[in-house]
Amino acid sequence: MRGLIWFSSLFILLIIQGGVLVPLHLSPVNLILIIAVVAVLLADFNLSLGLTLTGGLLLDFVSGTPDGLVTMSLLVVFLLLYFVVNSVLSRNVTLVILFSSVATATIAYFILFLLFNRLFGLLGLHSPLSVSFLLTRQLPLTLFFNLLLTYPVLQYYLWIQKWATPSKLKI
Amino acid sequence: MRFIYTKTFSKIFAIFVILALLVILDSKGYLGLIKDGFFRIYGYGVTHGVQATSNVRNTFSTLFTIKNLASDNAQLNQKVDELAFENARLKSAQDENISLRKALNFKQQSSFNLLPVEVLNSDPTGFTQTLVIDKGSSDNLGLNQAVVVAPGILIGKITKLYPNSAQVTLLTDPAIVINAEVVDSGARGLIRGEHGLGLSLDLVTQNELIKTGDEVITSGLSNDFARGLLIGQVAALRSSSTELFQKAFVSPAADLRNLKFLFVIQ
Repeated sequence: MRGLIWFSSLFILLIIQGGVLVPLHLSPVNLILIIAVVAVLLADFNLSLGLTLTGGLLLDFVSGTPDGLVTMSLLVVFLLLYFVVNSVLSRNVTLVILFSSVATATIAYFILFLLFNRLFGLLGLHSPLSVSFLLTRQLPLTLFFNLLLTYPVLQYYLWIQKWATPSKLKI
Repeated sequence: MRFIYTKTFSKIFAIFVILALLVILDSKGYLGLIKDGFFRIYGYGVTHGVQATSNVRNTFSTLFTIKNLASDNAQLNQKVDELAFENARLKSAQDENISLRKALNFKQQSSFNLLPVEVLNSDPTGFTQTLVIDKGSSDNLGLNQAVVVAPGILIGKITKLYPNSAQVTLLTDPAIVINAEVVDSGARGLIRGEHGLGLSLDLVTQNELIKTGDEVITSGLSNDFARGLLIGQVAALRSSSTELFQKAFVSPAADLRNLKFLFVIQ
């Protein structure tokens, strides 16, 4: 049941991204990346790994890139962020940490995406991408919109967490 | 304990193995049915989301544009008159063309066999300019078939096929390269996508005369597209006498951001 609630929440987030934000020209944005970062900071390893993996697969399915490319990039971002958060930063999460984590994760995601695209190219599966376009136009816009939507996604995550966490019976 | 012997490492390793398997299955086309189902459900959600968003946006935009409606209406009326005149002139030219072709025993230009399709969703990541349509290989669609909006305005081609859906890569994607021709001068070149920014017409020799506003169509030189599909209009020229070829920026004829009903040329 808990897994179903989290899966549905990711799916709804993806529909909001494609069905609401894109028509409003609030794009490019990556709500899945934001929720993955929020999960790294606030949830345990298993839940945040599950969210990142499922979100990555959903994004892979709807994107025009070969399957696995987005998921692998997201997973590596997740692992890097997880180890940085656990070894360098304190566990008391502040909004500053959250916003800087989202910014760092967005930049890292773009770089890793391009690297994995090159790697996929060795298998004959890459998508022709313009590196200069992605780094000079797409990345700044994504960074801006991701930061703009970080707080709403955080509130969404906390709301879903309330639903997904089984309430303890008080006798 | 070393990290590679931990449960965490095993978990991550297993995930990467599963992902590698997914990459192989996708490249071999074994995920077609799963993707079909996913596209239907996701497409249903996105379509309703887009409709709701458009309704809200239209309501607000009407409030802001209401004062300009009278002048817009006058401009559009003038445009309709111009187009009606142009249409009559072209019909007359077409009749003349048909009778001349008959007289010269030229092969008649075949009309296109169009299959109507509906857009399920577009790529929300922004990395590619692709969209998914609701018909696939079971409807006799094939790879590289041209996709148009009526009447004959090219928007892209089919690049991936699933049993009941297909992926269309738009003209603005850098993966697309099309042999094109400028209508007035007959200059030929290659149209390339420049992500969402538009198109570039490249490899046009310096002795050809192209100007802004010229229409660009498919030349039919490659087997992918039939000749005469409208691509767009020359928006700006970028050439210097020192370069071997001229380059021009072309704005697509179709509004590629709001696509709903399309046709596949079979």
